[in-house]
Amino acid sequence: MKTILWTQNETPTTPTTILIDGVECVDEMKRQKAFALLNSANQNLSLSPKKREKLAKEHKISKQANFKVDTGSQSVYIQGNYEDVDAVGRRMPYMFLIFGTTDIDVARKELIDESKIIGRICYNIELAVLTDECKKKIQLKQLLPIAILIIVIMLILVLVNVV
Amino acid sequence: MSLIEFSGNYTLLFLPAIPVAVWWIGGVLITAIVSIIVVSRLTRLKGNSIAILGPQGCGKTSLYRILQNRRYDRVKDGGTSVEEYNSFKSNIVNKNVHIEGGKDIGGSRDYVPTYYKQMINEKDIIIFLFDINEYLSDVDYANDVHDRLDFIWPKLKAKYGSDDVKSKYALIGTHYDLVPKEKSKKAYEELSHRFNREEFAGMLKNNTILADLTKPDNKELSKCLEKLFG
Repeated sequence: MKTILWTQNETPTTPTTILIDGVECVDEMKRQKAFALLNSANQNLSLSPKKREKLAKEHKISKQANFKVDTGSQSVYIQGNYEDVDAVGRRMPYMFLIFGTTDIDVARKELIDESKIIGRICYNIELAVLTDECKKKIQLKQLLPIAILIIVIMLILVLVNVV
Repeated sequence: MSLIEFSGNYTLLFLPAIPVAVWWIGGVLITAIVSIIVVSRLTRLKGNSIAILGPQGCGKTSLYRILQNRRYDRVKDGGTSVEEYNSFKSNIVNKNVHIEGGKDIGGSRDYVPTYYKQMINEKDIIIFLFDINEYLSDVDYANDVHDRLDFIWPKLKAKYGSDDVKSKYALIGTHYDLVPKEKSKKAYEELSHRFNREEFAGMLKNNTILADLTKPDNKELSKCLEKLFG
């Protein structure tokens, strides 16, 4: 299993759609397994409620849009809303998980392509915002050791000077 | 004195010169301030944990927004898969209620076997919503509601015991404004009639209302929430 895409449909009585590796899954056991994987992937997502609130206000995207890059399991998880709306006019939600990569651009492209299979259009602004936020976090992670190193060097210099 | 010799020109120089009494007062003050912060933080964290459950489009996120004293926005909120929220203060009938952080989960049936069980076990208060208009007009929808209540009711009774369960849940039939006039007057009667044939018939005797969540100053809803959080 390389990718899982879950989405709701237009009415409450229509079952949700789950794609596994780009193919719609109807086997109940496989669906449950895939859904369980999505739900374990969506714990401790990258954007806090406060940050999401801010992004939703600034970019008019949904408040639940979020992501997680997991270097341990080599996976990327993205959740958000499509441009397509349900029977009551709300943009329909999706959850997407891809294994074997930690590259948000690869995940984003795969999500867009798989969504096309079921005739859904991803909300580009939302995906662009999530991608930017993801890249900012990665940059910050890369800068952190350098910042710590600089602080340690400065402390050593101060101590040497004092002694 | 070793400090003075060691510190040279630095600010630490003046520390040993401060009288012992000042150190004591300072220490007591700092301990008191830290204790107040820790205690207030711990007290603040205690609150009501809630689970709002129900099928897709029944108004779960709308109710969360009402409790958060915000307005539901179709664009920003959209349909929900899963959305984490921080703890917040809710003003319920002029009373501040602290609601613990948690997750707003979507209405898909996929959530029932895992999340419903977890929510019922972990949360203090369970609110089940369903669209009363859909319930009365669509058999599949009504069956779905019944299946979910069949799942919930025994677990609620097992958790709280038959007597205590009354104060721990509410049943809200939403979109009452959309029910055609000829049906709306008898909606509760019809609901009661249908519930009486089911295992969860006892659920209806308690905190059940039919409401329009978009209506401002909804007295029925306020009463219902007051019963839960009062």
